[in-house]
Amino acid sequence: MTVAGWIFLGCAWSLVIGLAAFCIVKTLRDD
Amino acid sequence: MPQLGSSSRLTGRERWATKIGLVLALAGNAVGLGNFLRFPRQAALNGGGAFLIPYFLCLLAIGIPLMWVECAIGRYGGRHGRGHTASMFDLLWHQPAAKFIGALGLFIPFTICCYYTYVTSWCLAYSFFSATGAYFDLQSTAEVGRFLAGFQGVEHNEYFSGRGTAYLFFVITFVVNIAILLGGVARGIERLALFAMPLLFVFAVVLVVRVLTLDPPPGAAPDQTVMAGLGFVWNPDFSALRMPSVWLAAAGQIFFTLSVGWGIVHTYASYIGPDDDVALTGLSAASLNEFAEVVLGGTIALTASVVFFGVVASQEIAAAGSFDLGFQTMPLVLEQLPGGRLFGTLWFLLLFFAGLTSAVALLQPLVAMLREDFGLPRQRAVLLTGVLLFVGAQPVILFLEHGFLDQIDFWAGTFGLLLFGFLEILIFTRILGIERGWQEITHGARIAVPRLFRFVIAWVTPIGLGAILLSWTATDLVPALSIERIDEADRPYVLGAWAMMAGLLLSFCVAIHYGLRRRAHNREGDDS
Repeated sequence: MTVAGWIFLGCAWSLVIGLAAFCIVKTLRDD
Repeated sequence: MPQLGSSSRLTGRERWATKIGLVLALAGNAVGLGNFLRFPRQAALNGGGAFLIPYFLCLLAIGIPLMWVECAIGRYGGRHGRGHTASMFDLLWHQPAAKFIGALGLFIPFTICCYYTYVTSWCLAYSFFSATGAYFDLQSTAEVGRFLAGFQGVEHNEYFSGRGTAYLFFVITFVVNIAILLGGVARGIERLALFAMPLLFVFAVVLVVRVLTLDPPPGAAPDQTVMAGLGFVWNPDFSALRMPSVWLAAAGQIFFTLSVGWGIVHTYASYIGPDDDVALTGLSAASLNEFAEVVLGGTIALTASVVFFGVVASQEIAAAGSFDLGFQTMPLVLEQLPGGRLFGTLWFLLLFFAGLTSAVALLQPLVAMLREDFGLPRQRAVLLTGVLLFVGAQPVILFLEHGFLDQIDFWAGTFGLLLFGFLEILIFTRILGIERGWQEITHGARIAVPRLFRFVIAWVTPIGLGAILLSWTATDLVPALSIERIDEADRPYVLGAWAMMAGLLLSFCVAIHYGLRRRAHNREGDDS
């Protein structure tokens, strides 16, 4: 795994986990 | 044309009990075998981490906009008591063509379900085989392939003497599917989503942790490590970005992974309240699907494959296809894993839940049509749908080795989706108009949707979908029309599959025509 690979993995995971967490928390608050 | 935002005519229509239930049901529809088997292959074969650049751009330009469009059309239809795309498009565009374009949103999911239920039942069967260790003595992909062929009844061998076992698991999956639908939207589909989706995520996280803590097997080559496995999927090759095929692969992956263009999101969204949000709902479902795909799907199968078989063999595995990865490579990986029976059971149960939540969704548009246009009570509508599905699945099961399933997957499950997705975005942006469409997307929104998306939906999404459709037509559709490419022995079965699909499409068109006439007649009767 190269440094660039880690950067891509880190950015993609952060983006996806952050977005999913934001959406689910907001949805649960609406309920 | 009716005004958007008009008062609800939802009297007597079912509704989702909770917003999270709706989000999980939509995510359950989207999360399928492709998240765990197709995505890692696409990334590894198309530039690794660099693939994620066009992938996320296409998510923003095609995936999320189309999810919003379908949710908006669905809620709009539901407001007028319409729960399937044929009657929704008839409402949006008062031309005879509208309801026949919308017929694709009934034909596609039902036809796909004729084989999807069967494929889902394989996951349940393999979960059972994992628990009992039935395939744990097999040593090569060739042996695992023979095990699978015997199970499917494609050949008689020492593992299976017929397709009886496969049929048993199909019947179990079929009965579970129908039982869930009999419960209705809130008590059936929503309860399944609330139970199965969290369980699916827990199983997947357990598997991710197991894969990331794998030790190389005894005598392994230096490249058989978890780090090499992650690098196989994630190390970026920026030169790939210069190839148009990589961008089309990313666009195709986004389109197929979100399960848009099926007619299902519309039906699910029709059970949303008339003033409830669709923007956050659509984004939530898409983001959960991306979590399952990028974080979980991108880590499990190919990373484990590299640890046990090395990078070179994993390249061949990735090139061979998602199906081979799931049912031929993963059993070999799982049997070598410490605690393999447990993790194998979890892996195939995970795929089963992913398949079941999608299979249930595939039938709901037809149930909605039978209830709304023909006035059938829920139980009779579901049972009739079940009978039709059971009959429709028989040729798929019996003629599997002759390519019956592949034909339906190609025409309904690929071409049909692209065509329907392209036509619906044209109807939404060009017939309804982007101004009204934008109002509908942002009506009741619980998030501020950036106005940039108005331009994206009006121009970028239709052009993007048109490009995928055109490129796919050139590379796949034109060659597929040639019957000479098909084995002579299989030709009658392939023609049979085409005839079945043509018959189904025609039947849906006729049923929709009479159903909508009956609905209009009843409404006139009520008015007078």
